[in-house]
Amino acid sequence: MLSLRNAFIGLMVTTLVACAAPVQNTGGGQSEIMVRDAWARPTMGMHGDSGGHGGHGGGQVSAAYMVIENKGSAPDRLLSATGDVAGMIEVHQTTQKDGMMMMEEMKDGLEVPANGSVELKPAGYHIMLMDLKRDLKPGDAFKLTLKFQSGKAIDVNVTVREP
Amino acid sequence: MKKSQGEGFKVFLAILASLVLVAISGLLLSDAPRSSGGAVLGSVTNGQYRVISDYTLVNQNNQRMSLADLRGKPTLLVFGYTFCPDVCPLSMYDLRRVKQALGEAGGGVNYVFVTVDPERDTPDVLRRYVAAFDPAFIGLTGDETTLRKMIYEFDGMFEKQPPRPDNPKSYVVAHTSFTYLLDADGRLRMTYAFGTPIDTIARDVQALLKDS
Repeated sequence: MLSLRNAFIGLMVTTLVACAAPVQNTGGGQSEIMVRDAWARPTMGMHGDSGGHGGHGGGQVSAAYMVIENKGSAPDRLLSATGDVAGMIEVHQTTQKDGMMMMEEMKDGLEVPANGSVELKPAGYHIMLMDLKRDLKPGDAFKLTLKFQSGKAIDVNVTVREP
Repeated sequence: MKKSQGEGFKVFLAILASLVLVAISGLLLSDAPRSSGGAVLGSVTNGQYRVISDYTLVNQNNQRMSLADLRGKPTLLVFGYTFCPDVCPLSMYDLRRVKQALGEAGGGVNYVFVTVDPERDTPDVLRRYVAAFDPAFIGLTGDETTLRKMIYEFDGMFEKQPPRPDNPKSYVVAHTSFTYLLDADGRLRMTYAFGTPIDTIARDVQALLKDS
């Protein structure tokens, strides 16, 4: 009886380990990150348009969107982004509940599944650019460096365009 | 046999009920723009569309403007704030696309952005923001109590979130993100969910323009 119980517990543990394995995937697999279609929304009349220089307050924000692909056999996680375009750059998620829009920093980063992709798009995930150093006009471009949990740092060229 | 009679009566009742419902909705809809895809019919009380109260606010040119000043034309109205990086600009691009879709008739409509962040969205900030979308767009601000009362009347709400400790000006404001269509008499006719197709909104505005 006891041994049967032990066997059962053993089976349970094996099952748990088997379930956990693909999530952790520490067994040598690697992520293989590629970023495409990176773009950001133009700023709306912050410094230049009609107001002269030095305007500030609202509007000094934008958001960058892109598709992050992972062709590798291990998942990875976008932890942060840096660039000289803005003073503060964060990975955010917009959520909607009963028509109420909320925006939250993704403090644990954004998972990019193995052999999969994640799309950053309006009203979903985005890289929020705060305290922008200059106006962003359609056709402009700037660089962001994305940092991943695997240690990879990937430079992305972001083009400014309207949604 | 008795059972099947009972069933038959139930079916009869169900049909009767649906007929009554169809008749009622026909009455309510008869002079309303019809639409689909994310639209909610404006609130109807006793068969009347709800007139939104007359709030007095300040426009992007730092002039007093009340909602009554918008009458005479249909109005498309959104609540938002200029620090909002993701959702609000999309609603504004949508308003601009509706205007484009309407062609010349688009000039006969008010397009209004009402801030939920009066602290940062001064008339000057609003002027630069709305003008970047379209010079004819209107930006409105006011004291927080008035804005709060007003958005409640649109069945919406906003809630300023705590700022981060290192930067008190970096706060975000959670808010409802509907687009509202008022008719030329200031009555709330449609409430659109975020992401409602441009064509749907444009069609409803056209129907209102035809009415007036």
